[in-house]
Amino acid sequence: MRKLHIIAITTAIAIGMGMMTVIAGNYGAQKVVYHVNYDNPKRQKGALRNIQNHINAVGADKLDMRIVMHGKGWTLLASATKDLDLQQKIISLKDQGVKFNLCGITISRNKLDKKDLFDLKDSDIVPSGVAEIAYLQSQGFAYLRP
Amino acid sequence: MSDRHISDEMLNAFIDEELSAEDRETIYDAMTMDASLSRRLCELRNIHDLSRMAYSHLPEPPSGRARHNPVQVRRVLRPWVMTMAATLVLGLGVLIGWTMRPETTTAPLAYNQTPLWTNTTTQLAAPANNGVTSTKEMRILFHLSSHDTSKAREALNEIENLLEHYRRKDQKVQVELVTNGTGIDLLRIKTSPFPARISAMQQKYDNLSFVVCQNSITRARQRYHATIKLLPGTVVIDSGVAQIMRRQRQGWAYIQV
Repeated sequence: MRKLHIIAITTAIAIGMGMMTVIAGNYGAQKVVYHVNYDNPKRQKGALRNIQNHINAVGADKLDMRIVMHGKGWTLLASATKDLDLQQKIISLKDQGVKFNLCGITISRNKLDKKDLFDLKDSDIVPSGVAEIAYLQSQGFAYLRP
Repeated sequence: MSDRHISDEMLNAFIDEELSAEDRETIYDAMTMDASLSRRLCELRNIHDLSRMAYSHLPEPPSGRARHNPVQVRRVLRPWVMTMAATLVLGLGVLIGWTMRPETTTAPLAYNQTPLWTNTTTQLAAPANNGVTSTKEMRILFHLSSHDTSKAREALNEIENLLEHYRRKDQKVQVELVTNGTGIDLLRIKTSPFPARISAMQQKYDNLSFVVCQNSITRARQRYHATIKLLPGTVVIDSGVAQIMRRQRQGWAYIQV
């Protein structure tokens, strides 16, 4: 009898938690801009991890995800040319629809060579990183800076 | 065994046919020799029969198991009822919590933007836009909370880049740099690494304001046991984070340096 009792309570809790996950996990469509302007590799990798978690929680098909790099954030793409693990992460995120945007002013200020930045296309370059972030926010994007 | 006094207990067992054949034999023998024993047996049998009659019309227990353990009658129903009840309560709780979740408010807040005090030259605080968002004008708040010189330099660089970018595009823009925590050091006379640059920027751009958090000033005063003197033209507001929240609610973009 006691065993049945326990099973019953556990089932109830499980159902309740299931309901909560269904309701809480449904975040709907989201637009997010992640701001990366630091050069700490650990922090950068942490940011990519956050982004993957974010995708997992919301669903790649429901997300419009942009990463805007400026300031010292360009080092993310620079170190990726030598770091295979980082390359994998970037490729994986790009496959899930994440856009990696780099600030044009940052490129010219630091006299960067596009060849030294992993998988950077001209379409990925934005005229001004902060202007892009401000613009995206005005378009309803949430702002996150891990 | 034949010399043993036959107890009522034995007789009751005899009546209930719970004795072995041998014991039954003993009692039969004893009865033939002792008339009082027969009488006792008779009385006990009467009581037995009366009891049976009195309890013969009891209502049927809900389950056969109740006969062995009557307390279990109530417990059999419990698990399933409790499952449903618990699920319903949980579901109800989740639904209530979901409907009560904070909605993003679009109503503008009419906060008074006048600063508590300003240094020497009065600079207007970035005008409190009453929520009428003009699609033409961009409004951006930069947030600096660290006295790291490279971060401070970066903040000023980004602000200038942005202002130039919008100037070239002929786009109206309002920019506010809110400092709190140790970030206020950028705007303190004693500690600012770029006082001349800030002054130049203030002169060049009238759509730019440098804001300091009063709470952070108070904390700094307590920490350094000295009055905190700010660069001319800086604006003081009550709380940095409150200002950030207010601005975001008013539709400002937020960039953390």
